Amino acid sequence: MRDYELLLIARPNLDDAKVSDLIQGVTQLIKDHGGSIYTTNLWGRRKLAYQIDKQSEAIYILLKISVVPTALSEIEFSLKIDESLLRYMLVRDEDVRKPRRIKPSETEEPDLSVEETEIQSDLEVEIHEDVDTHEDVDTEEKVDTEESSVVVATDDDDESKEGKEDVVEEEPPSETHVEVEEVVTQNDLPVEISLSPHEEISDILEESNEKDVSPEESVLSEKGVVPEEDVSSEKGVSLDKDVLSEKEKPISQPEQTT
Amino acid sequence: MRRRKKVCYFCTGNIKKIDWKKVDFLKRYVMDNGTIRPRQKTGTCAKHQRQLATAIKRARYVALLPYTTAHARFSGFGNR
Repeated sequence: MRDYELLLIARPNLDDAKVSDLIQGVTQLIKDHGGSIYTTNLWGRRKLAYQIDKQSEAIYILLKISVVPTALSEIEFSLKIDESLLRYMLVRDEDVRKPRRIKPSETEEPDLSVEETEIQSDLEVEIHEDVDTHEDVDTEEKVDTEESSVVVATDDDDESKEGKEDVVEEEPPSETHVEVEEVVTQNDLPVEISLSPHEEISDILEESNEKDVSPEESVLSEKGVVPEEDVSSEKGVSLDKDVLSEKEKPISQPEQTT
Repeated sequence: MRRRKKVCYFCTGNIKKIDWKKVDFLKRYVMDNGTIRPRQKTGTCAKHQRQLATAIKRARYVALLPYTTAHARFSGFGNR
């Protein structure tokens, strides 16, 4: 169901009864095709800007309807046949009161785009002259707004999922940090050979507890100086010893294998 | 040197929707002979100029605005 504006231009020689009959007929026509009518606005008799069918006046009737798009061709066909109409126009309703759509990419909503692209300069706007890119821009902007402002609408399951995904995406970095720290504390074994992970580990240790780092470096530089710094616990020292002992192993092992 | 308005009127946020039904408003962007005023004169940005042109063309189709000078001259005496 989409919203449309249907403007009927009726012949000026219709009296009020025939006008009401016309409105009822069109209303019934739309309801027969499963549509609904929001408002019926009778503008009344109005002078035309140019002659249509040698008539200089006409009766304007504006209907705001909601119809399935597939039914439009039949509705338009029967409107063309209607002899009491000079002309009609059926266009998409771009009303402000219904900004949320199921498929925001297909709806033309200049309102939102106007509000949100105020910051854009003329150059940026000119780039998006193609309809497709323009629609893409609109969708992106809408997604942003929907994420920022909590949407209450029922049809926004996809958008809520997107929001959840974003939340999930935000969490992993913390998890990875935790994992890295665990790796550092538990198995120092494979780390020593390659320099770059060792640097990362040292950084993390500096962040977490600087006390463990200094003994390691001190051990690496001077083996005997370790006990002087009492700040480190016994575990740190033992780990350092293990590190040293196991550093020597992988160097020796490939020699044995070869 | 022609002085150009720096800000698009629609980008200022006063107008949320360029409605083809608001004839009096659309007349500001139509010349006396019925042609759409260029955006170099009105200062409208490209995006809103497109929307504006669509609105004016719709208003023309339903005879709310004239197409040409002949139509504009029509008002009243019915000569074409």
